[in-house]
Amino acid sequence: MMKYITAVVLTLALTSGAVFAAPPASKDACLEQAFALAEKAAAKKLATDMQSKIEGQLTALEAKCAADDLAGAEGDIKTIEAEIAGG
Amino acid sequence: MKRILLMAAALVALTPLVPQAAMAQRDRDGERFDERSSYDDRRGGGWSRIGQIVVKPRLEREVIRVNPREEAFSRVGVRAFDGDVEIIELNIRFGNNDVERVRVNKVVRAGTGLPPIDLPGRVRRLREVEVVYRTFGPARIELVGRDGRPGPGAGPGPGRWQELGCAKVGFLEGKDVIRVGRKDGGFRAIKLNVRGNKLRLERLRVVYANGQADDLVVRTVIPEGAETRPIDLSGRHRGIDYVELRYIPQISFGGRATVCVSGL
Repeated sequence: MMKYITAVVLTLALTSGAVFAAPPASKDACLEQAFALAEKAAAKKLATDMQSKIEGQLTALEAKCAADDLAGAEGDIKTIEAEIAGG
Repeated sequence: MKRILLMAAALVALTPLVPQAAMAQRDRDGERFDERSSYDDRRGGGWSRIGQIVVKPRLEREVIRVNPREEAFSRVGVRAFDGDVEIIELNIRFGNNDVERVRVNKVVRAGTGLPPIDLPGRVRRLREVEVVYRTFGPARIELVGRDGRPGPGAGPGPGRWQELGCAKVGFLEGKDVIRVGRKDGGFRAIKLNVRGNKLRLERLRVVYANGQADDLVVRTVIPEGAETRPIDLSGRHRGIDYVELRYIPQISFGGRATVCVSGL
């Protein structure tokens, strides 16, 4: 039973990317992720208030990418991903 | 008497050592050593060449990085100070990362300079210049550039930015084509300006009049009311058929962005 639970937890952690999540490697990689999120958000039919919210979050993320605040950007990326998935 | 005999014996015993020590010292002393005759193997001294080093001024290379805020240049020059320098070549990297190798192979005397070097494509923004050179002692090399801005009173035409066309950024489509047509003449750089909303520009494809194309990954956010830096086109004065823009469609309906392309 214990083995089964460990295997399930490990699989979940690996597939969610939570274990190996890391800040973007560079300013450009950061912007690339921001653009990918923007594209995802544009493709999804979000409610108007959610569109504005995500637009604001993306603007903040892009500013962090430009300022080379890659650790700060990592948190924003996770937040925006969750917002888009939930929206 | 015994003592005198002992002293005499000691003197006799020590006397041969003194000249031997002096000779050994002379052998180790380079200044006193006659290398011309002593190393001459024709005299049967048993010397033969083991190897050799030809001592000459070394080839050096240094990179002069150009301040990105500097204006574009139409010509560059090299001057030498404090000593003579042999300039072998210049590797000029332009704003669009094209590299032009200029072979020089000329000795520049201290206080003089090379004849001016015309840059291809009329007026170019420089990123860096690698100078390959030899010096014969301490020296200073100075890189100079001639500002390529058109002078006051320059009329419309190739010396000035002219708008080539505009496109409205869509909500679903991430691609637009701005037709220029070869009749609009040749260009060496383009820039984009955005109105109405910001634009997340991913890449640009510039298709020239001869069908060749430049694919440029830009990936930049252009704020509303702002414009990009001039983007140097490869090659010289070129006619543009069309410019294809790839961007991220707008997320919200808060005003559509209009993007315009200008050429120089």
